[in-house]
Amino acid sequence: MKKYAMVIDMDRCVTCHACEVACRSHYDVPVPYYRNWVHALPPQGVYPDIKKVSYVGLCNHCDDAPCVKACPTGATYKREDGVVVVDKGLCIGCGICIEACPYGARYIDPLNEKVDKCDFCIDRVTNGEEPACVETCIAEARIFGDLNDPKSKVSKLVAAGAQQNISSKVNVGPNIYYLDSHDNFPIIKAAFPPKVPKMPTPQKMWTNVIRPLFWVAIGGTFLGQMAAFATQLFKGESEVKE
Amino acid sequence: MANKISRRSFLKIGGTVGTGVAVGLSTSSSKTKAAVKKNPQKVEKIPSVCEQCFWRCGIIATVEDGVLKNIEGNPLNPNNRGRICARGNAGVALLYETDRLKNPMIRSGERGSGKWKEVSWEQALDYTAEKLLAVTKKYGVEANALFSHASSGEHFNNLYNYWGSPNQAAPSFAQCRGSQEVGFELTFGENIGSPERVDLANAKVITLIGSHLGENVHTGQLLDFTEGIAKGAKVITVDPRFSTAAGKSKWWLPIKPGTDTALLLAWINEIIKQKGYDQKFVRDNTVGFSDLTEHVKDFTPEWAEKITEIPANMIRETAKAMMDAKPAVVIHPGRHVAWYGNDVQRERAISILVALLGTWGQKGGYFLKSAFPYSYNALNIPDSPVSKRQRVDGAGYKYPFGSVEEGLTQELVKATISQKPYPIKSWLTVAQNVLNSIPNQADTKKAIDNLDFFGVVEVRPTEPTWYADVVLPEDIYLERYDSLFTVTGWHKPYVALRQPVVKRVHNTRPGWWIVKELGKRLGLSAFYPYNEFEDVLKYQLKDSGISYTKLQKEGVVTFPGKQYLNPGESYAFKTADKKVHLYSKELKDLGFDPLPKYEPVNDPPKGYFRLLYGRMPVHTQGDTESNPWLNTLISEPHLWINETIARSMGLENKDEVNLENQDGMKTDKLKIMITPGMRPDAVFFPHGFGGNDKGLLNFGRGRVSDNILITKYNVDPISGSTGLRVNFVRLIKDDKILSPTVEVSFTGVNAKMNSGVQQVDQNRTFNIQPKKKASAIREGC
Repeated sequence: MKKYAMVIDMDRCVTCHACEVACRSHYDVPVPYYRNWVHALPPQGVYPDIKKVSYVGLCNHCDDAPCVKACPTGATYKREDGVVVVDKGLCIGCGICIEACPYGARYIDPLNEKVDKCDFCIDRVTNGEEPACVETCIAEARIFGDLNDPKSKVSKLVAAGAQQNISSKVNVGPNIYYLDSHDNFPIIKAAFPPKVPKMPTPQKMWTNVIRPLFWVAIGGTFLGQMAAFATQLFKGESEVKE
Repeated sequence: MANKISRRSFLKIGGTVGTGVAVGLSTSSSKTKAAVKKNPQKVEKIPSVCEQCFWRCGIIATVEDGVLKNIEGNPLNPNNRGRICARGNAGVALLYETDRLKNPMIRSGERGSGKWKEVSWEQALDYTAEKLLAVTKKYGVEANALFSHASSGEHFNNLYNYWGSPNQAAPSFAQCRGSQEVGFELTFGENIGSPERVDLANAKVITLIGSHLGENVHTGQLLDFTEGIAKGAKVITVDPRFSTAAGKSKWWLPIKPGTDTALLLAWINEIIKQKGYDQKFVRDNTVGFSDLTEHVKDFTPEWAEKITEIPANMIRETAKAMMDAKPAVVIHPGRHVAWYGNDVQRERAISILVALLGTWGQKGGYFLKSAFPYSYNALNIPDSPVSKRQRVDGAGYKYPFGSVEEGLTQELVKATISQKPYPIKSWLTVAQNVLNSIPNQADTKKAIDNLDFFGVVEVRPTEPTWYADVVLPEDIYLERYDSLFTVTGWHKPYVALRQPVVKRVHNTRPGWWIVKELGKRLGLSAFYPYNEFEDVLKYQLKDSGISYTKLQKEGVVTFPGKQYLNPGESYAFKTADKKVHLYSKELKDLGFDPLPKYEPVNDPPKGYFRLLYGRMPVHTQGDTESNPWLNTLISEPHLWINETIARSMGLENKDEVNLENQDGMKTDKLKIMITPGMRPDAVFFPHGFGGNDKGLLNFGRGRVSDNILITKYNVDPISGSTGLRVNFVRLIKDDKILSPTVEVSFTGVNAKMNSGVQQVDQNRTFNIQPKKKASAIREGC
């Protein structure tokens, strides 16, 4: 069984943002949302020991993914190969998973009101291609592969000391690793620590999930179908307006 | 969200509203929501060549049912080896950008009123030709000037050559590479081309002196740079600012701006003194070594320390690193080198250092230009007329090494104002933003006021478009053919083809078609014996041994080149005596210094900072600010300012300031970025945002352009290029002029001990640890 992971080589990354735009292009990610990101920090430190670093991030496809636990409908799930994906058919756009994610890797696409996030380009990978961000990277700073294969480049880099963005408070087994030989990664960990996952409270479950589902159930009747149809129509129009 | 439009919503709008503007080309039907559904009927992968910048990477476009889905790098193209940058990826957004020019337009109000009427191509071209011919009749053909740039510029250069006007200029020489090319040609007899032939992937030491690789994203070179670093290359970055490259460097030399030649001379002094130069290469291939030795004997690291504020031991240490690594040393010549108006001499100093280290034709140094093994069929067209009058910009005579191919933009502006030596009465600008690329906007505007006719060929509105009499909207690179890209100065030489990947979206036309149609109206039909440009390309290649079909399918044809000299092989340099000129008799004979000297430039007056500017990785000068996918990454410039200085003026990171230069030119508000990675005597912000892009509908409006502040420039007497880093600015906040209350000695050199001003040792004052919650800036510079 495969276990997909990615290594970001911070020594190579030049903060060019190509990965971000390639992802936007391949998945029609609407501005200003993103599935992956490069956050540049201003140079900091004390002369002559100044550092300029960027946080290159994406969904960490965590082993113990809080988003999977938080999702009330089972739309977000972890595949056998480790990739965390969203089944758009099951997603109700409640947004609970967004609050559960320690890395800010999810957003609701305003065009279909479903949650979207990085899926490691699993369709491309299945076709034998690299993820779009890896393929375009002009510094060859992104390495994708199978952690369960000890011969893979990612396995070797992890064995060589690539690190995860985890803290004493939050460690949910992320599968994005950072390679850094200049002591730059502590700056990233300090500036962008993983957030403590906000798991759904009973009240939130009621307002965001159970109540909408109740209406969906009513939608089983003829009247409900008509209402849903009308809602659909209305939504379709508002999309065009945008 | 009103301004933010994704491709999907654009497509929906396209499908709902319809287009109705396209002449003879239906595009609207293909751009419906259905066209981007999961299972398209027809998926095509079409190779072409990018033009989001001048690097011209090979691309492959994925087109689903006629809609451009995405763009990827062409793995066969050696220039980018399958990878493309943010801008290349964002070509999709350019194609469907709402700000594009969509129809030919003729001005209907006063010039600059922004009133237009949309016209047909026939009307627009008839009108343009009528105006150009009227100027010609009254003042002669030379009164028509052309400002061109990029691939489409080439078509127009040809048109003006066929027509007989020598008054053509591009900013790529005088505002960019000119002095670098001249400096290297004087020393080696040839320049190192574009892409620069630097073997970064195999270098052991890489010296960047004013080249911020990483922020200027030149894909092939960056691939080599990061590969070189991964293989252990040590980087020396000379920059007043802690650039991305500085972050990858073993040595950061925060040099005092304007003193680079002193550092270079000290390196030369040290390398000669330590006998660290390539003695065999110098003996066999160079002239003037003893003159050079005598010339630099007093330019010691201690001498340079006082000038450059780089400690002498650091100058020695970096000189030793270069000596030890030779010949696998790349001293990057830089690209935008139009800094102080003495730039040819600085580039001469770089080229001398390159020669001393014997890196020419060596692995890890400068590699060779290969011979082109093919020959193209030439079109059967008449000879171009020889102009009766000398060009007005002085290239080739007043400025002896000014390029006669690329011209001198600022001199053409000056001549248009003075109308001397003869009147210039029409301008056509092609893919060149004359207001944001040529220094001193007021002069450029004054020149435009003097014109009988001002035409603009562009893909999107820029500041000059606002003043145009006629606007001819061009196809973007994804919609058109251009000339073949024949590159022999790269690792693997190649020929690449640009071809349309989609049908045009708006009522635009390719450059080749516009010149052909305009040429007909100017009586130049004999120069355009074809209907389709594709036929020209096929004819050129017919007997060359390169298959057009293969080019069409794969986008590129590579051929074996010769990068390095064999051991012991000599090289015939392209100078008259086939030697490398450490001492330049050519310069001496023209009355210039035969060996480079350090010439001091003025320091900023009290309370002012030197204005530095540069590139951003996601924007190409002013070409991309309105691209929604790029604008969301960096939507406005941030002003870099030294931390100690900023705090002494009471500034905080979220503050905004106005800048005012020495001539009283004032900008709108600009966000600041406080950092220890900036010298205290200079501020920096990226070039490429428009101050008053009135024509832009959605993005880029009201952003601050550095060019507003570049009112002063020093012209290099050798090349005629413009030194732009001679402007000073002060900071204004809430109408109050800010003045630093401390002096900072950045490197500990030149600290004034008894000046009566509070002295701050930056190393101790601010012990900046990683902040708990540093806010990210989407600046990337």
